[in-house]
Amino acid sequence: MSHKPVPRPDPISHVYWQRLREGRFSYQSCRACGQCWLPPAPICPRCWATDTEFIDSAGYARLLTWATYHRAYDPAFADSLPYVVGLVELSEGPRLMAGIRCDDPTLLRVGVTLNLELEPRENGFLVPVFVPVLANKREGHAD
Amino acid sequence: MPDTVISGVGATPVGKLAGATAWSLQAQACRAAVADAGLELAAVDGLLAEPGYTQPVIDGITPHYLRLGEMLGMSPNLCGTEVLGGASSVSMVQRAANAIAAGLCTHCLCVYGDAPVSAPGTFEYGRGDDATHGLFGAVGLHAMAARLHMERYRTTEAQLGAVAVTARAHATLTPHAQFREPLNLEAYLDSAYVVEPLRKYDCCPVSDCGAAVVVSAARQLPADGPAPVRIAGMGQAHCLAPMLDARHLRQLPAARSGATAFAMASVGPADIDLCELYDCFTIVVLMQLEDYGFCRPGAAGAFVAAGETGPGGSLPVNTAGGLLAEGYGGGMLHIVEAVRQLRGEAGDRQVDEARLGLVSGHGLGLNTHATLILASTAA
Ligand SMILES: [Zn+2]
Repeated sequence: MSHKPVPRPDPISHVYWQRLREGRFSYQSCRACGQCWLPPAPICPRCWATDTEFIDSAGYARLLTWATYHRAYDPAFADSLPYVVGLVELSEGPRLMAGIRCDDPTLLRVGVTLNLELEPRENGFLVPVFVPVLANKREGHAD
Repeated sequence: MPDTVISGVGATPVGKLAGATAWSLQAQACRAAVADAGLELAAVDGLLAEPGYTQPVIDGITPHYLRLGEMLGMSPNLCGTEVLGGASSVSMVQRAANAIAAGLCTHCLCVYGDAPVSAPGTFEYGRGDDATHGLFGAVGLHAMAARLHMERYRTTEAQLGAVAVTARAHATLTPHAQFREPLNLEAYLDSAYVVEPLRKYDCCPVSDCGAAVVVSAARQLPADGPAPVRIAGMGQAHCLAPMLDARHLRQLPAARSGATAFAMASVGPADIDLCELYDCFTIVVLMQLEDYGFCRPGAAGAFVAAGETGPGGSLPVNTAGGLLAEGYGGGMLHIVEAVRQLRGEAGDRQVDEARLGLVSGHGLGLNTHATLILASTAA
């Protein structure tokens, strides 16, 4: 049984993944213009200022679109089939690709509300995944 | 670009070619294209190459054009490797045309070739942290684009299937196509999902193939060569920061690329007789039909399902079958096919009155796009 891939932090994404290890999912923000974004970058992609900071996300998001994998391109995902990956927009603005934890993908719709969870991986990594708040399962997924 | 033309085209067979390597297929395609143009080898003074996926892995950081140029014995005035994914082939022709117009060279080879079936390299599906989330390959991103199109416009799986069925219909008329057997919608809908909503038939195959064109200064052509095809318009547009761009997965950079190309050629979508649209996945054919302005947003599914892009339709698209059925030719086969159509040399699949063709290239994770508008000079 193989394990799902772990992140590969580099000098640019190191802080992002280190904060996740501490249970803090964060995005990057520009102190000069206020732009907020992911993935981490060495410079503000809007005004090119270098004075940036990481800010903890509240963990609320909405689903912009998704894909349901029926094939495991990495054997570590074979036990998860079918599984969902989605394009997610945080309430603070930044967008990211992330796993969507969902028993019945046919219930997904554009705009569905998502709540953050952190999925443990090897070497102490925590990876952000999102759980949809679906109409007929609202109570089951409420925090 | 009134002074630049495609003077010659060449391609190897497409499919599983036992013993093939990317290098051998590229060399074969170059030889065929220069012979087709009727040029002396010594007249070719430019070399642009797209390395494919297998060879650069094997050969590390050696610049691709350097190895290929050595094999071809060339000392050109222009060389380079294009790395725009599926937009590379169209982009190479643009680079060549610009260089020729600037006087840097006169006859420039543009070549794609790869042998992923017979000489597979170590192709890695996930990129960076995408694999952490289970996002592997271009298929996942295109499935997301397809899902969004279905959610926004009620595009159906049967309409995606119509793109695959139409590609096969063209390929039945194409002797060299990799998949010539007809496909019907039932068989499409019975096939399993790969990444839902995309099925096997929504995804182009891998193929061994080499294809090349020669771009030339119009005033420097041999007297007895084939009718040149004029490069009437070109454009590029890219989306390099997809997480910051609200259009990502909703609209392709084709909208901008097309506007540039149409303006340069002083024509509009209604003037185009045929299209060769990069079709790594069925959904990008629908998106391009809309983003180029051939259909209004959301209408491309019904347009294709009605047969408008098929043989004899009002706008034939991918007249040799495209990546989906002719086989994977890196986008260069699309250019080769457009040239054959505009010369009137397409045999059973010849489009009547083919005067103006649009060719597109689309690459990576819906990041890159390039457009060519080509015009017939045949009488
Ligand atoms: Zn800024």
